[in-house]
Amino acid sequence: MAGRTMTEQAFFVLTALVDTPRHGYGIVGEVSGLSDGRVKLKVGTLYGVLDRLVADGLVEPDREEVANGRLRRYYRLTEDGRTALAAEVQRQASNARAASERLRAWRPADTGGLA
Amino acid sequence: MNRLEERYRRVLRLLPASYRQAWEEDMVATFLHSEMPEDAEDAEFAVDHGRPSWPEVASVVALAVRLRLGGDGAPLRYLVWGETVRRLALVGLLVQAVAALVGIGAWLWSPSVTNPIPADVQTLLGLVWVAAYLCLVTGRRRAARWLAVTALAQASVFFGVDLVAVEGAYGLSGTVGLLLEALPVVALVAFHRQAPPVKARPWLVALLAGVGLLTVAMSVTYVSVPALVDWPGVDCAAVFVAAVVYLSVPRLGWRSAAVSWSTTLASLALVALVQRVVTLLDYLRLAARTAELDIMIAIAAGQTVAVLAISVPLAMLAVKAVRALPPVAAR
Repeated sequence: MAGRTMTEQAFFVLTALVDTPRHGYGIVGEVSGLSDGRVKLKVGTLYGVLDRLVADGLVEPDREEVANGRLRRYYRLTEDGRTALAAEVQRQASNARAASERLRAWRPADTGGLA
Repeated sequence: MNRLEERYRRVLRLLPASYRQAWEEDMVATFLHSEMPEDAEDAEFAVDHGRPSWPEVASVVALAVRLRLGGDGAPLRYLVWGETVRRLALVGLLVQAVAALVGIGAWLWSPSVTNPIPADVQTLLGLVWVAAYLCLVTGRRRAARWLAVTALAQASVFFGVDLVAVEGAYGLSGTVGLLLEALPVVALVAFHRQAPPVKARPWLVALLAGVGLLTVAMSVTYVSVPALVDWPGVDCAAVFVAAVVYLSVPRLGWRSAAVSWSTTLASLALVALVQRVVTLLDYLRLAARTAELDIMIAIAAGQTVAVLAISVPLAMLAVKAVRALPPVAAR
């Protein structure tokens, strides 16, 4: 992912794996909760993101379990994943700070503000 | 295996086998879990009669396209297909941009004199193709996509108007021409997030060189043999020269680049050939035969033979090169 901005989906998938390893459906549910239902991952999208994160070494398989006769594979965040997420959080926080400072300083033109 | 699972697995067949081997079971388990209603009765119904929703199918299609038209980190075989389709998009938009700029140049140079390209709104709207091309080569992919779709939409409208005006005389070649114009626009899907950035300089030089060459060629031919040159003829000449140069110069450089240039040129030769053959058929269908039309038919037939002749070694080279690529291993 070097040199490329992180997509919102990748950001939420990494965030969903911070506290504990999760399987595919667990990630879908967690991402939906984290984003207040705004990001609903389709399966093709989820595995497209997951596949890239695994290839980039940010996520790795954790364990496999059998539930209802189906194999369930869990994924966990790697140290590189944690670092990449922390860097992205910092980037987004810095953007948010810059925007909120601008908004705080803004006053409508007729009240003598910056506008 | 229930019906819903069976239907979803059928959709997953769109994905490359190597990818399915690694991810299919996971995807199926996640899909079934996501799609299953909580109510037992509804769940039973979904198992027997449910189908993957269109958004779910679309997400698998998008994944299949991204994997097959590979970019950074993709297996060599998929990288070659990705490079080929990306180059087809670039070359297609380049051709439109060159044609638009030369058209506008001709209109500005002598708006009152009879021009090969009508000096009208359509000529000016050609600038949208130029903008789409410039956005693509400078990395503004989203803007390039929207501009290209807009340019294609306006081209479709003008095609409809022209078709009515000439009472369908060039209906076949016009329709096929429009479909071929749509090809590079569709091919823009290969510029996904994993696609490597375009090296802007060679493509900007190509735009300038194309405008220069076409201006000279059009000036010479329209002075000496007016009305005997048509756009499919120009495209055939360009593909023929490019193919001859490519086949004469020993292949150099990076392996996948050489392979994807073979496949790109072979595809372009096919496009030029289709374009030439359908226009030739339209010429043959015209009732009013003149000496000039007979000459045009002879020229078009000659160009068909020439492009066909160069397509054979190009296609053989492309097939050989693709076959030599290593198979895609499971991840």
